[in-house]
Amino acid sequence: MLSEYKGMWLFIMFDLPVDTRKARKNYAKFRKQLLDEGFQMMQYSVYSRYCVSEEVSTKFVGQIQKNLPPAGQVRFMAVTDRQFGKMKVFYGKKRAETEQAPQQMQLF
Amino acid sequence: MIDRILDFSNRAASLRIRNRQLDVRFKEDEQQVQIPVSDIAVVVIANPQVHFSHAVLSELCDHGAVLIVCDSSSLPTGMLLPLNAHHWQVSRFEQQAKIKLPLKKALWQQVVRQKVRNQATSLERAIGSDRGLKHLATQVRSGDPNNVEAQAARRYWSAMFGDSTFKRDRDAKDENLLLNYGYAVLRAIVARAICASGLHPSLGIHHHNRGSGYPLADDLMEPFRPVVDEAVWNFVSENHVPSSLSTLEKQHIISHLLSKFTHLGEQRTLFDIACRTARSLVRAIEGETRKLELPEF
Repeated sequence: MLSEYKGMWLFIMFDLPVDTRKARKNYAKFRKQLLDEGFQMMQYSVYSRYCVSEEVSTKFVGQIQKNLPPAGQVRFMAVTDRQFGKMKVFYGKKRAETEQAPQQMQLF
Repeated sequence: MIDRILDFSNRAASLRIRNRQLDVRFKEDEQQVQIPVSDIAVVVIANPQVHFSHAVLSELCDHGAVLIVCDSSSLPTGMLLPLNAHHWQVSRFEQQAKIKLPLKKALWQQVVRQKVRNQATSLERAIGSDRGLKHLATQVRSGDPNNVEAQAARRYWSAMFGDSTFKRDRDAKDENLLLNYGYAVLRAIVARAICASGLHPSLGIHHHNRGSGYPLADDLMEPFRPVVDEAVWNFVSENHVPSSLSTLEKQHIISHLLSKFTHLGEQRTLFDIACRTARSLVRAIEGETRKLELPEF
C-alpha cells in the first residue's frame, strides 16, 4: 500500500502576466500543461499533484521546468503526504476535509 | 508510478478523457472523479451501464494499462492489452516465435516447479501441512511429462478448502467465483508485464490457447496463482463461501494483490515481480541464461 512518508504532494504556484494577448496565451498553455500532467487546482494559481515517491515528483518538476512560460514567476514545492495531511482547510469559518492521497484500489 | 486498479461494477458511469486524465462521471449522484491515466495499471469493467469513448481505450493502451471486460455475471471475458510498449518489439516477437522445444520444456519445468513450491507454502500457511507438495515439486522433469502439475493440483485444492470434491471451475458459484476474479486481475498484471518487456502474450511456452487468448500470460502467472488462492482462503475461512461477488470480496482479494511480497530478500509489489519474471524470460529467449526469475511466496 502507499506510504504516507514516501508519498509526496508536489505544489506548483505561479504568478503569470496576463496583460497582453500573447501573455494570456502563454498562461493558458502553461495551465493546460499542468492539467494534462494530472495536476489539480487547489486555489487560483496553486496546483498540486500526488506523486508516489520523491523521484516521481522530481520527474514532474523536470518535465514542467522544460516548458516554463517566458515571463512571470513559478514555484515548485514538494511535501510528504504526512505533512500534507496536517494541512487545515477552511471555507469561511467552516473546516473542510484535506484532500486525500489517491487509493491504489478503487471499486466503483 | 502508482499502479492503480480500478473496478467499475456497481454504478452506472461514463468514462472519457479530459485534459489527458480519465474523467469518470456517475449518473446517480453526478459525482466526478479524475484519475491520471499514467497512474492506472488495470481497469475492470463489469457493469453493462458503463460507457467509454474510444479516447479512453487508446489513452489506456498508450500508457501501458490493461482493460478487462466482464460479462453480466462478472466473469472476465476479454482483455485489451497495449501493443506498442517496447521498441524492440518486432525482433523480440521473432525470437519468441522461434524458441526451441528443449528451451520451452526447461522453462516450463521451472514454472511448474515453482508453482508447486508456492502451493506448498500456501498450504502450509493455510492448513499447517504441505501434503507432500514440497516433495512433489522435486519430481518435476523437463516439460513436466508426468503432469506433476495436475497431481499437485488434486491434492492442493481438496486440502485447501477442506473438501475432497472441490474442483476449479469457471462457472461454479462457490470459492471459484473469487478465484476467477482474482486470477483475472492477476492475469492482467502479468500480461501487462509481458507486453512491457516487448514480448507477445499470445506466444506461450506451454499453454496453447486454453480458453484465454493469452497463453504466455497463463504460463507465467502459474507460480503467482497461490497469492490469489491464499487471499480466497483467508476470506472464506473468516467469512462464508459467497454465492455472488460483491465489493467486499473484491476489496479483500485486490488489497491482497496490492500488498508487498518478499522477493529475493527485498520487499516488492506483484507488479515489480511480474516485470522481473518477464524480463528474465527475455534473457532466456535471447540465450543469455536458462534460468527464470520466478516469485517465491
